[in-house]
Amino acid sequence: VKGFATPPFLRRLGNLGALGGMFVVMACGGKPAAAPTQTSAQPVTLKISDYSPEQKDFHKQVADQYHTEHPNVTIEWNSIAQAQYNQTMPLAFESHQAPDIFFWKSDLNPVLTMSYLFDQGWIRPLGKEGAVPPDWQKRWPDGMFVEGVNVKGGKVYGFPFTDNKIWGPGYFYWNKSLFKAAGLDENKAPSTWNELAQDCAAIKSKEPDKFCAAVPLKGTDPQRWWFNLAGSIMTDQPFFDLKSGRFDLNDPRLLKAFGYLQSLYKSGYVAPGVNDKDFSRQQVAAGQAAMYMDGAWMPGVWAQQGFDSSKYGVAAMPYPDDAPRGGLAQRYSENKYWLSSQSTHPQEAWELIQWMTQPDGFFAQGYLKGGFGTLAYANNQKYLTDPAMQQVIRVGTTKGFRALDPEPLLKCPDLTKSKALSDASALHPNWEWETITDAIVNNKNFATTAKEVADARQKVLTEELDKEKASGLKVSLDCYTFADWNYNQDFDVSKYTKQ
Amino acid sequence: VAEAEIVAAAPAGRLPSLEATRRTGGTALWIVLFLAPFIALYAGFTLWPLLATVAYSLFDWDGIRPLSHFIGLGNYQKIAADPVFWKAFTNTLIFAVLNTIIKLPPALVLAIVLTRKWLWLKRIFRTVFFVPVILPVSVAGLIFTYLLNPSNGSLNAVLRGVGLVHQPIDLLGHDNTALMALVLISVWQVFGQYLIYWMAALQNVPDDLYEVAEIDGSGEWSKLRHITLPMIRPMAVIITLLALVNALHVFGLVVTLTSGGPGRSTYVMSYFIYTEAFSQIPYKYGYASAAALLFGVLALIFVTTQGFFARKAEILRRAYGV
Repeated sequence: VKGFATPPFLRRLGNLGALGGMFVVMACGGKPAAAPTQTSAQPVTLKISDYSPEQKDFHKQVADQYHTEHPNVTIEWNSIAQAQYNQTMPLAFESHQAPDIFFWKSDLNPVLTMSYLFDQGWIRPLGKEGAVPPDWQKRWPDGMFVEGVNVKGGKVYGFPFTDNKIWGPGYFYWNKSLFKAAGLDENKAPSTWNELAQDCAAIKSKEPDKFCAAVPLKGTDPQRWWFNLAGSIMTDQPFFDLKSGRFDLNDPRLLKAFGYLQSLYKSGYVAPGVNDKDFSRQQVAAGQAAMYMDGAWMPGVWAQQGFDSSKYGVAAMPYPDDAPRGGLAQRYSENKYWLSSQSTHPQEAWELIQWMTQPDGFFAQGYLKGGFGTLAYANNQKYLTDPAMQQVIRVGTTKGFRALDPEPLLKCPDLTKSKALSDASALHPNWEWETITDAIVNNKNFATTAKEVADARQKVLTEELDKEKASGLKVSLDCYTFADWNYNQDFDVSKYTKQ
Repeated sequence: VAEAEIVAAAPAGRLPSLEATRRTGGTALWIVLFLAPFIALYAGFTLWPLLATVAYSLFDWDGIRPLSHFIGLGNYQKIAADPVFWKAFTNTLIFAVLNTIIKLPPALVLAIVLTRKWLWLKRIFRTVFFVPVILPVSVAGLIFTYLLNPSNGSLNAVLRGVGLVHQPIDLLGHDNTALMALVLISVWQVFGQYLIYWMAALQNVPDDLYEVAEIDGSGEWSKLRHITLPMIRPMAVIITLLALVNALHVFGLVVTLTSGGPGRSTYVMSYFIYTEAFSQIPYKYGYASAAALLFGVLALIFVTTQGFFARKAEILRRAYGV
């Protein structure tokens, strides 16, 4: 006698019902129910979020490798575009669906990222309540764990991820075939502003259908060239001068940098159009333009576009011929991955962080070989095999190329509670870039508008600092002023006088 | 039995009224039932966000921290003194007016042609003109980014090829041409939509009016002047105001083509609100909400005006008996 068998369609219906029920339970369960657990052999899923979609394949390899080494841990690594990420992460925390580990770097003041995240209640200390093994900290050079930056009340909350000596703007890239076609030495980059202009003249005369320089001007993309020019003559700190404690778009040295960029444009050396960075990069890769300035990440970007490192050269950005050299800014700003306060598996997440930060581990090797960047805790020279990246490292580690900037936070710890600088910088967020582009393409007077921008921001900064001071915070414009510092010299920790 | 007695006792003239009442009660229930989903959605997705925006606009709020720093009309005072807001405001009005003026008359002319009985391949023409409407704005933006690019865009290649220009023209790169270029691109994209509107209006004109005119010996021009244009006037009012209101919401093309630039020459209200709200952390939700609300008031004025003209148009429509 056959037993009663459920008809297949009823079984499917039952499965669907169960699935639907699961969704309802998931949807209704806003807050995570489970309390933080200790490491166990229980299956654990760790969620990581960042905005590096170009690293998706690498992230999958990392997840697979970690799962092989830790069979009970599954990693779900979610990488989306930055703009989308910046909007979704606050919502994720708001709805208690935050990942276990997340990437965050404050745009306005990267050094204050921990302070900002702490205020939001988004982060928790690493290790056992912020006490991390000394051996782990030794993976970084001395002085990288700083109170107020990645340590709070003695508890460690963050760690420098990207190396801040090599990583950053300051690199000049050129298409070798266009240099050769113009009769220039394909292996020699211009080292001064005049040399760059002369090379452009040669390219324009020999290759009239090509362009000398690809300068992106759309949105915030003028920064690609601007930070290099500004750093060569003064500093690339985003429009704020730590020597004078002032917003500095109208500083005579920056006006000179602007004048130089405008002269290239007026001479017809720059590819026309208000293009974005992707278009400009593609122009160089496609041989339509010869020169481009940007950051250390370009070899990775161009490798993805099929532009092989043998076809282009890398050098330091050219310096002005007749002015004192500036220096690019090195800051305590590369603390990027954080342990979420909403993680239900903080111990497992912390173990993953320790695994990721092994100087010779799977993550470091893969990250460096993939050309995604340089790491603060690994021997970059050893694993970055791409010749262009090797050259980037040589340039980046040149003395005086990038100097450790003074850090106002170390002078005035109360700045972690101050909103004055961020309020001043947030006044029409893209104002400087809009002003630069407008003045270049419409041939407008830059000095007047630059003064207007700098004065408006300075006014907000001064007023807000005064208000905060009146409310009891130990902050003032002096916190941002380091008159005895030179742009291309490291600011020694011993020089800080706390207020 | 009781009901039958009541019915029997009631004056003859009251019986239908009782039935009508019963019917009305039942109908009212159905009306409420069918309207409920819409009311719920409208309250959730229109009324609530509107009220929330009003509340947010009174706070200095970054959209994340608790809503605690009440500043009253502080955001509105700042906006009133913000030249970028007024630039965006003016640009939006210019864009909406130019866009409407440029797209509607040619769309009407083409609609008249496409509704002629003698025209072949009407459907193909309609489809051809409607295709840009279904293109996502981002795709349209990309198409024109490459088409108009002065380095290697097709437009400049053609102009230089035929010797009309020697230096490339950068339509999106100059503050005196960028906004106009955006207007024209937008017209290109929505032209088909308004063509369909006009065709719908034209097809509402009764054929017998034309037949009578033909019997009276009227020519095409006379029929257009004395029948077509007066008859579509009610619809024209609505189409025009719809076009204006839609144009006020321009956003996608600005993002993809100019990012508000060069400088701020193509800043429009939606882009201004977006930039203030989302371009930098901490976000300025409070400030952006105040700007959005002011912009909403502007749009509301248009909608209210639309209501006024629409009512007049309705009266006209009835007068014409269509």
